[in-house]
Amino acid sequence: MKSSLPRTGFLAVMFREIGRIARNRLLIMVLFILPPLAFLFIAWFFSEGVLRNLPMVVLDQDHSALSREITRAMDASPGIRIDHVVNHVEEGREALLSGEAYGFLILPKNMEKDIWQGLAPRTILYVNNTYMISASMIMKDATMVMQSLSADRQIRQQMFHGAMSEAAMAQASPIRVDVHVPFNPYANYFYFLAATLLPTLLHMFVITSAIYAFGSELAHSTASQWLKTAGGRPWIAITAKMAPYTLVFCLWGLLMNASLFRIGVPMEGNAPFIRMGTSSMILAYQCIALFLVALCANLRLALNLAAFYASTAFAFVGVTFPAMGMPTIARIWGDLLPLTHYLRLFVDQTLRGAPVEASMDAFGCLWLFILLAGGTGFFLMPRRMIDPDCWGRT
Amino acid sequence: MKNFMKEWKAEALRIIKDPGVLLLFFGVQIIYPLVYPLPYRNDVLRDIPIAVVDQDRTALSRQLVRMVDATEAVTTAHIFSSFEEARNAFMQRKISGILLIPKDFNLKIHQGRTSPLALYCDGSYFLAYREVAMAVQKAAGTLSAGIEVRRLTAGGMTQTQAMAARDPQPLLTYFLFNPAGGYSAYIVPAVLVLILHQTLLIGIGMVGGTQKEFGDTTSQTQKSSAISRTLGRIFVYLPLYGLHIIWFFGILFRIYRYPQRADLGELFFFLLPFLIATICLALSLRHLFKERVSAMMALLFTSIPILFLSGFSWPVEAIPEPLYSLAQCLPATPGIAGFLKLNHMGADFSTVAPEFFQLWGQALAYFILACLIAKQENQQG
Repeated sequence: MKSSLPRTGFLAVMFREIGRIARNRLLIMVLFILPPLAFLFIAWFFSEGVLRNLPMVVLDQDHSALSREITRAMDASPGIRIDHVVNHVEEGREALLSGEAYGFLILPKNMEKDIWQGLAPRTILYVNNTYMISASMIMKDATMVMQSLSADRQIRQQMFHGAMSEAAMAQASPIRVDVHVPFNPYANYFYFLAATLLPTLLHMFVITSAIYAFGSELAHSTASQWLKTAGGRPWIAITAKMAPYTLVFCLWGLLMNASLFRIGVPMEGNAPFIRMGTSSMILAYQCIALFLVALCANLRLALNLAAFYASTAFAFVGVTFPAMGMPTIARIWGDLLPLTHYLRLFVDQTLRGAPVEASMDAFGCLWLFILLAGGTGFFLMPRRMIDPDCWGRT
Repeated sequence: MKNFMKEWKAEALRIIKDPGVLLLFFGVQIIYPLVYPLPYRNDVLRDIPIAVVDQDRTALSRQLVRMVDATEAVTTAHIFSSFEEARNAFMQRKISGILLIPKDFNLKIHQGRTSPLALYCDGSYFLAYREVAMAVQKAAGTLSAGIEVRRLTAGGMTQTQAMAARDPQPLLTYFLFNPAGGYSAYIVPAVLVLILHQTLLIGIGMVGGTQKEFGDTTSQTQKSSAISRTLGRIFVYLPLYGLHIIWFFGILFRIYRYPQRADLGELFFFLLPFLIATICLALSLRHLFKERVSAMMALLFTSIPILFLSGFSWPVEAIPEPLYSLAQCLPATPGIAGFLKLNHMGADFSTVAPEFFQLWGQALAYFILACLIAKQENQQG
């Protein structure tokens, strides 16, 4: 069997690489164990889906039918759960500080009486904005509860005075804003986070494994043997070496996309185009890895640079904070990450259902990385392979 | 004591002689805090471009557009006459929302009917969606309230009565602890605590991997006891990270003007068991790494899961129970939670007592584990 394998050429380098992977615990982990673990983690972490029943406390100083109605309505709204009723302000403050509750609602004394007298008593809601997502959820739901309660009451009052129902409704609010979210009908933060976190984790495995694949040949002084197996042709040495990694990560990429759609990320665009985008993103990061190793000729330094490049990416890709809100320098740094362009393409094609043409710029950018970083890498790497000065550096 | 000093010196030499490790223990702490807050420098989203499709073209519709434009969060970048044009601009990512003012907008209001506006939001970018929806609703609400009050006063009410009649029970919302809703102050402090955690795990792992891969040039021939070895190593990292704490929370926080409601001494006192627990966890893990680069490759991706598990961005209530319990073994989980309580909310130290004792518990457990592993290392020779 062994004798039938070619000694030099593309397949020889590829089999050599598969052998190297099989003997290396670290590579097996990064290629086969960590990606599914990371994906499972994300899927499990967000498995609750929408945020529901965030704890809030209430201080009821009124003890009226109305204050009890408000408390009940708050508890019944999807985002809020009334954890308990507190007896004084200090207790509510404690609940906020200890993290027991994200919101603290104060229903003032004589509230019901004051409303009937038209004094517009103020209800106060404190939310803990240290936890921004929970805070905005509670604020949104509490505002909605109060508005619908007071609109109900207004309509009842006016109908009592004899106004017709439709007219009464119009009296209550002459202008109504209907918010449509056509491009992500689910408007679910979870889709958005899961869909961006999975590729972010994937790209870390892609770039570090590629850095290791190229860099370890220099670090362990095996580059000349590598080149010899390729029949002295660096072009073949590089592509054949990368091929198994590209194949494995493209498969993970496909699985990642499939599982995202399976858990409910809407798929409104062009599926083959997304697959091409995922593979191009993987290739782009491998080309950048090649470029970094060729540039540094030092495994450790290249890996440190890649780690910096990849671990700060999540802040710059414009998902936690949109790119349009960033200062120019941050936006430029974000544009220097293939992940930014890939996520644009992905969001276009999944949540927004944009036509393929609208995402061609993002796709083009991915290939620009492949051509520029890959091209420079292919140009520089052959010299590193044959230069013993570049070997054995750690 | 002699052994302790020996081990201390050996570990310190391993760091000082190794530029790769030095970068992790000194470089990252300087570069990351300067780079990481960059995207959030503007803090809040301002002037998000949206398009308006004004099919009404009346004074009232124009007034509405002006009011939307005047909000801080939104700017009306384009006025289109057809929805199709606006949709194209949206697909090209030029705008983040479309406000459609229907043809009979003004007419309906004059007839005393409800006039609906349609707002199409980009749900794919959560923060932008929230800001646009809130801003447009606020502008429309203000206009609506004005019309309503006019109607009511026309019916014979006084201004105050009219205001009370249209909103009989106003809800005032106060955002505590980060009132401006600054994104930078929200995310960066937690990330700084995470950086302490991750650089310790990866850095100490790298020292261990280097020892395994290249043999230990600085190792002492005489064996010291497991406890003095572990203690010697801990006291290399503890003072170093004490300095990082001062740099992060004493100096950088002032430069960035982040909320500081705890004094540095208090933070230091709280983070002491956090550091000890993290160092001991790292010392326990370091023997798993067989190569110099192993720790970096294996642990790099963990930063994001750990940040999410700490419960500050995604509420604890929505994290699956088993995952959350598992996360309680990591120093970062109570470390970040307690830090935010002390520093952001200005909580009394007694409020963070659970986190504080949890950290000491972890410190003790991981110290014992690290000693056991050091003992095994001795036996293996």
